[in-house]
Amino acid sequence: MEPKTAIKRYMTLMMGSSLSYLVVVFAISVSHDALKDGSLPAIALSLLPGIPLCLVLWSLWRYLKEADEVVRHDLTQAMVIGLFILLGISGCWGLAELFNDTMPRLPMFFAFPLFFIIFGLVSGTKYKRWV
Amino acid sequence: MDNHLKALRAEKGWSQAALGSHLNISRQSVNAIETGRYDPSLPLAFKMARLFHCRIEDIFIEDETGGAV
Repeated sequence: MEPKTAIKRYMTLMMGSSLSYLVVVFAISVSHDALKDGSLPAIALSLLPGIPLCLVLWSLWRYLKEADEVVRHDLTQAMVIGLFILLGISGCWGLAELFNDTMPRLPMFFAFPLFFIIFGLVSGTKYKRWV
Repeated sequence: MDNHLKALRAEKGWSQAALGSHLNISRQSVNAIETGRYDPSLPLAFKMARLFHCRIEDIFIEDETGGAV
């Protein structure tokens, strides 16, 4: 596949899924009180924002397969760095939570944005280096 | 790993984007290979050799230690 086509498809899908994530999160936040009853529809609705998140992951996976080998190499490296930093932070924090009751609880949800922030920063520095 | 890609490309009068188009890789990827920041895979190296009608050894220079950088 043409490199330009691959990046265009990736950006379109990534932007689309990010936007739909924001819309779904906003809608769920507005109806937050209605979702507290623990019924099956309420659980299903609260799982809804997970769908755009999975789309984000899928678009990244597809781009990894469609990009040329240099881009794939850099992306993989950025992802490994992001994953290791995330594992380091979550592992250390999790252990501290386990052994110390005064530690504030960090929601598991934060793993997703934290990974993408690190991944984005590392990818950005790599991209800047070879443009 | 050092290489003669820039010189070979200049002989053909191609821009980095044009070479990238021939190899189906991006201009940035051509730049990364030319500057030695990335060593290409064997299939891509063979593709380059075919494109410039030469051997892989004529494009890439093995470093003195004999290993990959």
